[in-house]
Amino acid sequence: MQSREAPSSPTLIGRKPPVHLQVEDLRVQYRVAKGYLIAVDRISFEVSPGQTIGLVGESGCGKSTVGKAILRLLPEDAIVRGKVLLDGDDVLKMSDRELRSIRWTKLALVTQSAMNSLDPVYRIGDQIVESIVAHEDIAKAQAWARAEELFELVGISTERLRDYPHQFSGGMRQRAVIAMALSLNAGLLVADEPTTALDSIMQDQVLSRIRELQDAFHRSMILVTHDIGVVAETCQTVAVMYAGSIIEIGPTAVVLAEPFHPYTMGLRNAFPRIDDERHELISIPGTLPNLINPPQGCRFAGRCPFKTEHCEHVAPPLIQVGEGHRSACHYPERVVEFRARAQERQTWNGTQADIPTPVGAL
Amino acid sequence: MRAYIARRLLQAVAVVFGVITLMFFMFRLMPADPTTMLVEQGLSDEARQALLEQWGLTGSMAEQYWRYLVNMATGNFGSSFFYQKPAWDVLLPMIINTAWIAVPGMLLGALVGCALGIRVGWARRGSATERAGIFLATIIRGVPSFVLGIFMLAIFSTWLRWLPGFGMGQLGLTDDFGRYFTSSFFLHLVLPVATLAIFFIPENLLLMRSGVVENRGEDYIELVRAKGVSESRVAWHAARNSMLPVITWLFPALAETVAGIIVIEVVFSWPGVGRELVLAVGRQDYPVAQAAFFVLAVMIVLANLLADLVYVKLDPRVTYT
Amino acid sequence: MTVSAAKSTKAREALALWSATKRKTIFAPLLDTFDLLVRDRFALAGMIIIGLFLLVALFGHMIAPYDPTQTLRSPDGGLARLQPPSMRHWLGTTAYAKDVLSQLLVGTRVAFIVGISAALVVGFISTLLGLLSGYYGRYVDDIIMRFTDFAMSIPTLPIAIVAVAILGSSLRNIIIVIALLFWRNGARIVRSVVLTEKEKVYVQAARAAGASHTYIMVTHILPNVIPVAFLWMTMSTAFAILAEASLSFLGLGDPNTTSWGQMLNIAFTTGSSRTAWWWVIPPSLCLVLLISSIYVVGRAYEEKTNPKLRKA
Repeated sequence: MQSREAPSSPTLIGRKPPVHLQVEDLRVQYRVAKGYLIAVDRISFEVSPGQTIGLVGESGCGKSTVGKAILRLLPEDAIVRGKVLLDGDDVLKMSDRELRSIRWTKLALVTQSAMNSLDPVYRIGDQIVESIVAHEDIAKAQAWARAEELFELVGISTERLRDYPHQFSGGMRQRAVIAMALSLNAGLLVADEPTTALDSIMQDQVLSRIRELQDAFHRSMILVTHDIGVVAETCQTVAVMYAGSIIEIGPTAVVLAEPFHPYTMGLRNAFPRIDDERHELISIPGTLPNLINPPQGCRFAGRCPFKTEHCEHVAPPLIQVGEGHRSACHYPERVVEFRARAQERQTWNGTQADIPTPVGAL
Repeated sequence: MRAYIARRLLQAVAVVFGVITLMFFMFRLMPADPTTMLVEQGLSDEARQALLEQWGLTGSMAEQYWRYLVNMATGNFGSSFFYQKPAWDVLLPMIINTAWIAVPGMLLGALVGCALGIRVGWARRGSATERAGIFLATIIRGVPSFVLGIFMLAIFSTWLRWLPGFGMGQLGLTDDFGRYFTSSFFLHLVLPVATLAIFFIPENLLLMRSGVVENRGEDYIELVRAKGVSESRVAWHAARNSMLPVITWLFPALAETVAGIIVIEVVFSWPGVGRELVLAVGRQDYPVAQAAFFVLAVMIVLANLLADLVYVKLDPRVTYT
Repeated sequence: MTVSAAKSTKAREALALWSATKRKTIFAPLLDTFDLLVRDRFALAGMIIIGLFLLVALFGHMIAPYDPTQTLRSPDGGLARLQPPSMRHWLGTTAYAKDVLSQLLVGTRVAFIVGISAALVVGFISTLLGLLSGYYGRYVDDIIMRFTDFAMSIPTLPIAIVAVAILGSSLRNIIIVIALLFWRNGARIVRSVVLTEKEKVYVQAARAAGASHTYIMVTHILPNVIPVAFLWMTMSTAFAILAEASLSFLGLGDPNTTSWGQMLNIAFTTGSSRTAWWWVIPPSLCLVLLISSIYVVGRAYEEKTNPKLRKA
């Protein structure tokens, strides 16, 4: 028997408290022919109630996997270890029934708005109603009324509830997905690449919508994205991921203005800034290391322009480098030098082959 | 939408017309002069001529064709050489008899087949359920309908003696509609319906299964699951998306099931249109054969028409072209 | 372009055409999947069963203990009717005192003759029509497809019954009738593949380079059509065997040949099907085994060529 919520009136959005999430030592592995592929390697972070944290990194770094692991949406063959404490209850240890009861009521997912992220043969209104009716004992008409309220919140005309997903534009679909996520006042939202499928104008609209909603309802949120700009606009905290680990975490403004990890510095370079004309785009050459037999030392050593022997043999732990700011680099004391050199193009050119650039040469 | 329906109806009518014309030429090719049957009874030449006229066998091809079309339009299929009654009168009750097995049999087969198909499709890849389901479905699919019929007869009728296996009910029952609601009728109905259902299940199962397997991996399934609905509801989303190809296949498949129905009627000596077609062809009673063929062909045209209309309603993405 | 240049282009084209047919490129996809097929256990079992039946079809008449049409006598002088299996008759005898085993062995040959001939004809017609219809499009496509649509709305078994009644029930006629019914779906399937292939970039490029229609059809489109056509032919083999058996069972089979369906027809009409299990089970079993095996192999083949159905 599912635990059912007491019937709530349509405008209960935001009345439920945001949740506190504590992720401890989360590991996700897959068994493959050659061994184990380690997608997420011992990640820990915390989301305070009402806080938005961004998980940022390049494709394949494991950020989406973290999001899905928290929701327990990974495929059956994923091996998940660690703890995901939602207001103290470990999600990973819940029974199917308990899990189903917290799904959408405490934890909701905002997916990418790709064409197939919503069931194409059901009307959008029906899909929102489905999420409500699965957990609350209310009449369909009331659930529909709530769906209308939700659509108003995200700025879509309520008649569109009767439409099918393919009749929506990308931006509208994304907003509809956000509306659906809010249908049961979940305390934690996991947004997986919410703006990736959109053009920049749409992106801007959706992001400002997200900010508005956050200002109004203060949900705890994990925003997974590869786009630092998105994080800069919406998240108070940012966790930068690389090859399955968090390599830097801290308040967004601080991390972006004063990064401690070379990868973060490189990431900053790779994103265009409209206010800084002189800023050239510099990309980080190379690709992620082998996740099946990961290197012993720092994962980023292969592409890091500042690496040393020590980096290649010993993995750096996450150490405190400021107020609420941690970084996984052996040389936090050289950060000023790193930051300066990171802004120059030739720093990054030498890392392609593992040949140290002689000082003074081009 | 209306234009589409109108066009499809017109198409259906055109097809029926084509079938009628085809039948005209085919049956004229049948190697039998039906009057020879009666000549032996000492028919005079004038009487024979009168009969030929009555059966529309005189005159040029064109005249015959025109008369034939007029007759068809008025529902006159001619008089059965064998039964000495209008062919239509012979067939009408048989159409109902056939419907009594066709509809329940196919409905049962489709529902059970789809339900099993969803179950097998949702099972873990490589599990016993999956392998058993596919294996059984593939084997049964390879069993010809008459083999199935013979075995059902042998097991349930001859060996276990649970059910009768011959005809539609006890002989001597009244001729009216009431005979369909006797216990004897239902006892006789069970085996043919069951056989038809079993015959129809495997394709349904396999098709539904492959649809569910394909749709399982879609993005929206993940979102539905994240919403915390029951696992069977998640499976239902995949199934609902798989329905379109199943239904697209289903109605035209009814056409091929006609073959199964004909054979099952023969095996169980069920007095339906299919069996009558076979008997009439054997007797060279071509008015009846023609009428029976016509009935079966029209059933299929209707089934295809229904399929198109239902499909349009079910798939919101389709625009009416 | 000068005449000699045009001629040499033609010559080059012809040479490419010829070597394409000579090389295994057209059949390469088939050989690939054959290899994959062998590793699937069901498909392997299916192929072994088909192989065994094939052997019987080829050599069965040599090992048959009796002439399948000969009325036999029992040792005491009477007709050997409806005898259960014994040392003299391993599968017993029919109501007409004929040896069941011999009939069974000879029936295998009939099954294969019908299946393979029908499949070949179906394959040829389907591929030809599908190719023409899909490639040339517009009027050609319209005409062929309308004709196919019409043909498809004619019910299969009823028309087969009527056609065999008109033409007479000989094996050759049955094969023709069957083939004339199963090309319909095949043509559609081939056509849809052709439509997809036609839009591919390399086909457009070949057109732009001035390749002739025949060249494009044979070198670019045909290799992609062959797997699908082959699949349909495989399935048609099973359908054909099934159709012949059904027609024979209904009494419309060739009276001069012994087929499995024919055996069941006689068993059923003499009322012996309820009791003479030795007469009913062997041909039924053979039909089920052979038809299922073809389906299994066909399905495995389909799975190999359609990756979405594959196991992870």
